[in-house]
Amino acid sequence: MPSLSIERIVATAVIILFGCVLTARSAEHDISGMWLVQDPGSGNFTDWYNNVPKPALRPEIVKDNEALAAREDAGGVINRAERLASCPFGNLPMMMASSPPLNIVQSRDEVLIGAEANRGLFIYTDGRSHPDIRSADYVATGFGHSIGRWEGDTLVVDTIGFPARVCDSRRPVMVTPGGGRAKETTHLIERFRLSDDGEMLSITFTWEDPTVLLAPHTYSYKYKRLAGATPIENNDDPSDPAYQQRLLQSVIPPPQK
Amino acid sequence: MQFVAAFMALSVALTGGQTGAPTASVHPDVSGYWELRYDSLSVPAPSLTAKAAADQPNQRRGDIQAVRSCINVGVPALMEDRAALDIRQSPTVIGIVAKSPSSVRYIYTDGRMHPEKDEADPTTNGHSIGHWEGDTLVVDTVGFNDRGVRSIPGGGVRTSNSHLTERYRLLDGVNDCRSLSRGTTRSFFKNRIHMSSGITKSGRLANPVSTTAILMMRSEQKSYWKGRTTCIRDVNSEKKRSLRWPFQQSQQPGYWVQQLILRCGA
Repeated sequence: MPSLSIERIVATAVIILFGCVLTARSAEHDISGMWLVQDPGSGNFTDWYNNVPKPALRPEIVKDNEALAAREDAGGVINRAERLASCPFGNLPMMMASSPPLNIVQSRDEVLIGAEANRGLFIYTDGRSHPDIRSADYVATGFGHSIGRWEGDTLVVDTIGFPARVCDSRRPVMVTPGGGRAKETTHLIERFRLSDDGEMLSITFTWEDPTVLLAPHTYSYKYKRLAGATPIENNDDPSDPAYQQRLLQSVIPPPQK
Repeated sequence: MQFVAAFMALSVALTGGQTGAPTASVHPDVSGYWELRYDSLSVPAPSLTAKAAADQPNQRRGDIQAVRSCINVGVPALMEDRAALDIRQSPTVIGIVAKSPSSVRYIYTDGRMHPEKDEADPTTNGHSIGHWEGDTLVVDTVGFNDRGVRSIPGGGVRTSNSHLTERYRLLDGVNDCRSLSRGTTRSFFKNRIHMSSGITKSGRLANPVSTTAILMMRSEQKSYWKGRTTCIRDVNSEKKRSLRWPFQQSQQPGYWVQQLILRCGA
């Protein structure tokens, strides 16, 4: 049996200590809290959504975008798709860009991101890998399947498994900022990083999909921490007459100046 | 001794002097998937006011309407979800996600107080703050609205005046599916759930590695559920099979069957 020299003990302790430090990294960079995306003043959601570096889109996607725009210009602004049980819920690119703050809860092996509209997005940080998204057992959601790991002070999140179609007659596929697509062939990498003072959160999105993009599409959002804020609740009741009225109002253009 | 000194110096350098550790680490971590034990709905009946007791039938109708409308069920219905709850704990906030239509529930443990009444809109989940008393998380909730599923287990109803106190404590042996189910391994149990009369137990956890829950509902309810299933949302792709709709017809006449695969265990 080898002797327990002090060097051996110290070496073992250092190894253990390094392990502890690595484990504690995620705790050092706790991104829990409410985060409000910082819009530089785009004026409306569509402009804000497209206020990103232009993606290099394949010609057929450009053509499809033109068709979608023409449909909307012709008045097709109401979603008339049948709401089926098989409809995927959630929309990751839209949620991350929307004005309701993100509510992030970072636990030891999973990061939960909620938003006003009663959705929950999960990032598994327990070391698991993606499921087989081509399996019949996999049911795609608009959030895809996300796994994350810490690289120093950056949470790197890898997402696949978006749905091929969504239940929206206006845009039957998920459209990413700038006019790309999030679908079954899409791969998203997000990099979450806190500012030094912990008051700002930067998320860099990189979309990859050779059926949509000629090159990966990268852009960043910045989010401001809302200390002590409380989320509001999106709880529309279709049987509520006031809600029905609001729905009608939403498709009546306001008086133009 | 030089090695020891070097080790101590290295320790301080690597940890940045943070060996004093955040207080959160000394508290139990309730993060994980938690499945309601089958007998947890047996709760003592409360002492209701005469008015509340008389209003029970109306309240039940209101709850049914809320379910039909797929609006957020809120607390306490969220906490008795049939599917596993996903609870996530950070040092400052705890998030709870249910599969039923509901907002994510947040419990703030950062020391804040409830907001003033005119500073926050009431919600179906209310506003929750929590603090640790030893190994117990004590959660205080106010600020409810009058929407969603308002029935309280045992009787009574949640109102805008309600004040809820919850005490969360990890039981010994939490890795055992037969107590509270938690964690990452897949397990199976057999339950028959008769939707018209609520949950009834007809089985028990068979073993800690595989589980099948069978949801049964009367065929005359099929048309209703078929149109309402979009409100049943998956909270976790691991429970993906619970989204296999529409129902398959059971071999037992008069029933429709859905299979749920849930997770529990260590």
